[in-house]
Amino acid sequence: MITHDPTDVLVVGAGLSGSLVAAGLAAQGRSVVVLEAGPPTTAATLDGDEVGHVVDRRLLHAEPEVLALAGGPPQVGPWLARNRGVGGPLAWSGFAYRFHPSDFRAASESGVPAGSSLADWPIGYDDVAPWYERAEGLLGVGGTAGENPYEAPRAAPYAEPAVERSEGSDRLARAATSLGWHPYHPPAAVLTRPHAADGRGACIRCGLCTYYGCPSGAKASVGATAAGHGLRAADVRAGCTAVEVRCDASGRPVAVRYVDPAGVAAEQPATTIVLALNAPYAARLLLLSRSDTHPDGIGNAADQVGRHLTFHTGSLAYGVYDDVLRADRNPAQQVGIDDHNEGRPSAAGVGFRRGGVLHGGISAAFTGGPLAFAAGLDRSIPLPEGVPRYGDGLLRFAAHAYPRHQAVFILGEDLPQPGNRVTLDPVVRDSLGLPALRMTYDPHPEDVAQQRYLVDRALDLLRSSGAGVMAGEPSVVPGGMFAGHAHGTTRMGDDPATSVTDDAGLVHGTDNLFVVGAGGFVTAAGLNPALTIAALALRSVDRIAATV
Amino acid sequence: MTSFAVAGDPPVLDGPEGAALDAVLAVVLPSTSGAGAAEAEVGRYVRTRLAGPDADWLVLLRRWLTADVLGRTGGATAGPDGALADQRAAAAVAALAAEADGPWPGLFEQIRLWAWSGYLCDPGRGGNVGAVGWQRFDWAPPAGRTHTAGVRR
Repeated sequence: MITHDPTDVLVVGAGLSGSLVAAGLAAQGRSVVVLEAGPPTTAATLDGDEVGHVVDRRLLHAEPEVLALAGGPPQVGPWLARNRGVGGPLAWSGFAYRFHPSDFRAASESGVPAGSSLADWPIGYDDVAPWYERAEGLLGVGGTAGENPYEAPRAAPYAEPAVERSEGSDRLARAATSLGWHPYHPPAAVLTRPHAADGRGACIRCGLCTYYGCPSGAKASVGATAAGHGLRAADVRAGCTAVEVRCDASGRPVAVRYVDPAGVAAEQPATTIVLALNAPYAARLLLLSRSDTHPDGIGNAADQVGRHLTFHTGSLAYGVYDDVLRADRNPAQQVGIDDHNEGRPSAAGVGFRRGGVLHGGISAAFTGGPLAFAAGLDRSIPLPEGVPRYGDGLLRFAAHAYPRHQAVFILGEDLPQPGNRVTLDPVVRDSLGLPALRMTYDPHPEDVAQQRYLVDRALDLLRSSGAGVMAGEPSVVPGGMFAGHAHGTTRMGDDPATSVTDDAGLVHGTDNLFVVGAGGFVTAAGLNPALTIAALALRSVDRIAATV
Repeated sequence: MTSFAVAGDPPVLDGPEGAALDAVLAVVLPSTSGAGAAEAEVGRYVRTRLAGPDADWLVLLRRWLTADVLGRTGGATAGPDGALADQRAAAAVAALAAEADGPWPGLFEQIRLWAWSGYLCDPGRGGNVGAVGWQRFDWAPPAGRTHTAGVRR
């Protein structure tokens, strides 16, 4: 085993939260080591190879993961869309929302459904607002303030313009207005004009966003921004997979053990340790870190590590029009509909109390490219009635629909439940021989009702916009899983009996182990999580720095 | 620069197996109303995948081709030539598509994924010859991205 010289701070994971934390601490003069399991990718490749990005998921991790869904038999994936590489995320779509104020107090606003662990966050919107503003500035977020009547209050307009709509998206926006809804330009970390501060270019509308890096740098990744340049002051070690947080005899975390790119075991001692992995993997690392003083894993004395796992419900509907729309060239941020989010639909007695957002004007594969669309049919993209699963009928439909279709995606708040959780699989092992991640997830009945309702609203929108052939159905698997939206599992809170960390991510019972990222989310909210992940990470920097 | 140039046609299947695979792919994406799997030379793409990242599928695929498409039993061989071969392939694909929990788990979905991938991939990967799939889908690589073994448009 190689043992390195101690460092002030060790950050595990160099994605969105880890990169921001590492850069922020380095800027404050702390010595920082960063371990990243993925490659040293900071610049996106230019190629638009669909096989590499969509079929082989080049920018995502591919470890075996076990999913036990709704009481069914365990199924081995990879399931989670986990970005890999230094300075990420590269493969994301670029939605950059602030959560609504009510999202931080969902239990008080909506009540707690039976079987759910819906709760208020220990912090409110006002605590996060300054960090949202800072994160928007770092990532270059554009939008149109005031267009969405339900958006969180802002101290200033967006610094960047919103993404322009296509003609097809305009059609959806007009249809939404005719239905009495309030369409808006979704906030996007996608530049429509060059950004001199960090050398990023404007969007070229290639349509290859999700699953791909951005060749112009218009879609933000931390590595492409000025914030990411701060990573250069840290000792970043790519290809290094953390396997254990090691504690001393008193139970205090003192180092992280990892496997380096050559397969050699190594240990990095640190004064303070920050876990910035994808949420379920942060929980898994805590569970893997068993010792005499932490027999069930670090931070798990109350059996809370891994619990309250949420993904976002996610489904889609799409329509095929008579004319060519070319939704495949659109960035994903075309038309947002927030009218069915938070507690608004519950007033109509719909059988659920927390809703979700609709995003329209996107290819049904959630990215451009004909292979993503065709290969998604009959899998994530439902086939219209009468279209066969193979043969000439399928080929004719796919070729006709591809340039003429557009989709509406549903992203809903799934309710946290204590039994929806991450554990260590007793059978399946990862590539290093360690117990694989196991996710047990059972949709709450209100989630099921919410999906049906939102899919019907999406179909209403498509129909009103002139779509001919349409298809849409609720997804059995929580769709947010495929978008990289995994939250909870190291829930933040004031009470160690019901949470894992405090509101800055400090693990209860420790004074030097932090978890940043979506693991701390108390609830999922019905909005994309990236900007909240970034804001909370920035908010934690000073607290982390104070421990060193 | 990205390069995934394909050299030749990897010999992962024997002659009858390769022909059977081509017949199966022509059932999944036929040439009835325009360019299909045959014109895109999807079979070569699939054999390239079987020689590389999809090697784990090779044993299952060969067993299925042998048992359900070629009809080889006890050493006898019924080669997939002419109308008989097409009928065998069509029947085998129909049975595979209808199978929920049979002896070929996930194989229909994988064959269909191969078919689409070979039909719509970057031609540098060995399928989509002449970009016939892209043309049928009314798609061209966007400017600013590299395609065809690293050539930037």
